[in-house]
Amino acid sequence: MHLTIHNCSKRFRTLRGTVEALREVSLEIGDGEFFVLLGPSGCGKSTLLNLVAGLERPSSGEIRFGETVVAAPARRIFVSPRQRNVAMVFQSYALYPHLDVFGNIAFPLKVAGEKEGAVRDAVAEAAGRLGLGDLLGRRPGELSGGQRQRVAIARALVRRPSVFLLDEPLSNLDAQLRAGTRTELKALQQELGITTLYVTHDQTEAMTLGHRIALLEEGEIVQVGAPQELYDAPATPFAATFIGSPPMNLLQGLIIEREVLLPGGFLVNVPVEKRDMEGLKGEVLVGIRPEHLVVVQEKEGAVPGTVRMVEPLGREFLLQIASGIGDLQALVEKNPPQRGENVNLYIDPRRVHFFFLQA
Amino acid sequence: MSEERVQRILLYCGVTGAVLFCLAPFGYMVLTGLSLRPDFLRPEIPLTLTALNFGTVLTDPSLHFLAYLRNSLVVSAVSATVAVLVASLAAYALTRLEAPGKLLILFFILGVSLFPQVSLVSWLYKFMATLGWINTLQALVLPYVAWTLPLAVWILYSYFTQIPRDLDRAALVDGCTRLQVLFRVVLPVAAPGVFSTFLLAFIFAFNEFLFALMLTADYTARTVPVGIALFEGRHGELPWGEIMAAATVATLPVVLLTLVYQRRIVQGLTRGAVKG
Repeated sequence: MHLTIHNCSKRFRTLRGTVEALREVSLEIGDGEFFVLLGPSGCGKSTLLNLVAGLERPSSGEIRFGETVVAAPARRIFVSPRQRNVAMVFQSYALYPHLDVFGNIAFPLKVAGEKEGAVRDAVAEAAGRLGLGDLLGRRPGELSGGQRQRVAIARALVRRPSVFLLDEPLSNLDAQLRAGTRTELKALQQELGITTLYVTHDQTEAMTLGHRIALLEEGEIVQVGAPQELYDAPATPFAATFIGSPPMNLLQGLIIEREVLLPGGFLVNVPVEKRDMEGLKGEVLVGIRPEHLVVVQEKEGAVPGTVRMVEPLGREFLLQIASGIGDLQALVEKNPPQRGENVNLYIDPRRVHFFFLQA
Repeated sequence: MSEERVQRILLYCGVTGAVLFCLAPFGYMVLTGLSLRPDFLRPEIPLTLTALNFGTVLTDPSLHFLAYLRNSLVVSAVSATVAVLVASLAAYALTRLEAPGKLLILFFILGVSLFPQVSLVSWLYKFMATLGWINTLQALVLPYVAWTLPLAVWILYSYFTQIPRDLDRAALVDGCTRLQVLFRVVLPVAAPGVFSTFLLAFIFAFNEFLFALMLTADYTARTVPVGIALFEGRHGELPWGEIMAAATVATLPVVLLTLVYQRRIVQGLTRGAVKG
């Protein structure tokens, strides 16, 4: 199912006035795509999911499922959730505590009035797919967190929804279970090919799961693209620091002709391919990812700094460095310098990102 | 003696006292109903146990006790059911919909129940007389429903607010209409609250005296409390043995109902619905 969100806004009226949760959001989500809505809490990503589910009505704009308009306040169109054939997995799982696992998975089918035999077959299939075959008689209260999560997913998948919505489904699981479930979820989505909208605040989840990611901040879309695009070419400083762990180093700079003046008087060349960028003048934020800072021997053209802390991450080491251009984080793979040691850092101009401050 | 031991002993004493205080009148009632000569257990009269009073109450057609009991059960069951149904609709709306002045509505509902019964009864009599309902069961059901509704709405409101909204949202996405959400998810999940509310409404209607006294005339609609109060002995004296036997029988439905639903009432409310 192709999904279109066109200029959608959502305003909530509260006691303290109107809150704008979403501002003119537009998205196109392709058939069978795994699309991730990423952003910090309060950015409007869950509201957007609720709009697609039909649990909230947009204040303005239009939402289409394929060619069908499901919400358009200007034309007084609103299709209720039950007529949209969407399925949703909640962060809290939201299992029905008075029903056993079978009853929970069968619930959407029973509400739709399906025949007894068809319900049993569909539940058996969904339960088998998620490894719940032995638990059908249990109540949600007797299940572990991971099992509850599977029941919630099975309930969502049992009636072959046209759109599959997940609202931070993994954030209540412990770290190990989360990674495993993440992989399974991705495999499941690839196998079923259901258009999927996935909300998360975890950039790792977003990167690993999504075909494409939309990054939201304060009700607006900051950037849409494939995970690698967002990582390699962040559109704003926010995108640069939100995606990637540890986050990108950001420094104040001033563009002077073909060089950038960094704090402490250091100069970095602006690479040739970025020289014709529009507005390449004045104040600029310079970003460099920790893995692109190289510890070098020669002092020429390098930034001197002192190692304040070394954090082993297993595969690599994270260095906290106080340098002449400011506090930096750098990743080195082996032979880390000692704490207190003086190092020289080389900034590769081709790896540098420039973010222009709005005039 | 350790402090904990003293605490335990005091606790048991308190519990025993409270239980005795509550159950002594009940025991007295049963004993009087069972005694051959119910002279308030005067020591000089020997206590002889007999089932005679119970036999009379249950079989004597002139006492109409079974008719009273039937009326009571019908009136209480119907009014409690209607009250719970209407109250659950109201409570669901009050907890789930974004209505302005929600609290105001709640307090208004509470305010309605503050009117003393006596202030209403004469008007109610005229009303029922106009309808031609005097001495009918519906004449009791209607005021009982109205009288128990505020309490029922408040109890159910507090239970419904404890049910996570995500359950509603899940049910809506799973294809339910709002009414289906109420009947397939909210009511079953709030079952302990629903049963306690039903029980309270039932007990209220079962015990109510004033309206039943004013609005009924004979055994076609008279309920147990009024019926027992108006028992007459054959020779003008008060037949205490029969009165107490009848009262004992009349407590059985409520006791049975409580025992049957007890497990449901104490059951955990939303165990396993949501994380945390």
